[in-house]
Amino acid sequence: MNSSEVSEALRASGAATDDCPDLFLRVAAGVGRRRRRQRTAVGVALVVTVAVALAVPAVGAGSSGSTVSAEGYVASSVRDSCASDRSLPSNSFVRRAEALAGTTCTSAVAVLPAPFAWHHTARRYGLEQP
Amino acid sequence: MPQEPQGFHDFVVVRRHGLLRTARLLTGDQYAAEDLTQAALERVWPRWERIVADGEPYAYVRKVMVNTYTSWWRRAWRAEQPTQTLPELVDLEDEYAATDLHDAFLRLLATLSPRQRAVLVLRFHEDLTEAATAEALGCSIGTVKSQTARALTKLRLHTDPRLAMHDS
Repeated sequence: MNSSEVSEALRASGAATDDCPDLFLRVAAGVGRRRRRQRTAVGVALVVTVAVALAVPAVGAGSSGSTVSAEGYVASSVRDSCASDRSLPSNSFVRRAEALAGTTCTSAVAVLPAPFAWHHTARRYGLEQP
Repeated sequence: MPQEPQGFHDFVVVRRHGLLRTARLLTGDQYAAEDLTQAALERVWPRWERIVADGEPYAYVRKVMVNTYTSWWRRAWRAEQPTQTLPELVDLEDEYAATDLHDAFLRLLATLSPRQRAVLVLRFHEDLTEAATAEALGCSIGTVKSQTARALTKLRLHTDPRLAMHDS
């Protein structure tokens, strides 16, 4: 097959294509569907954004509210103890407590989950959990 | 129904035959051709005024259609599977021989890759130059030349002898 034969065959096959009289109506309906989908997607994104924006501060406030009392308790203990003992081990929980107390006892790094850290710190300072 | 851009309806009425023919040759199927044409027109609807202002709406819609066709192919949205052997041979004694011949040629086109098929349709059905075909497909002129040569070679290899006899 050379290019002119291909051209002829393409035209003959193309000419056999059926018409689609309602093409415009199909396109208009499709555009309408597409716009509704876009509006729905935008609405969902907006709702999710607002929900996240409202939820994050609430979670942050809730979590800080539950730890402030423990940290504050340890912080005051750290502040009191640091005056006499400057060689205490530290972890992230202690450092946060130290930051709250406005003093530093040590720069050692040992990260423990908060509950373990609290017990560790409380035991280190000879404190009982209130 | 959404607000129609000015002149869009007239364009569809006047140009739909040409678009459907091109889509039929690309997809090889009447229903897929209608879907492809519809999808291309849906895509150009929102920016129709700008497309008309640029001057060549038909060329733009055709370009969108070819790109849509190749993206559908990449997603394996195909009703046809290219095959080395044609499933049916043309029966020239049949009263529907002409229709069979067209179908045979479309099946032959289906053995080509989408890019090769698009190159042949744009070059030899739409009569675009190599430069215009390259622009429509977003590739170089050299690629158009090489794809054309490969497509024609492949067609020669797979041509049903009776199809060739009928052409001559």
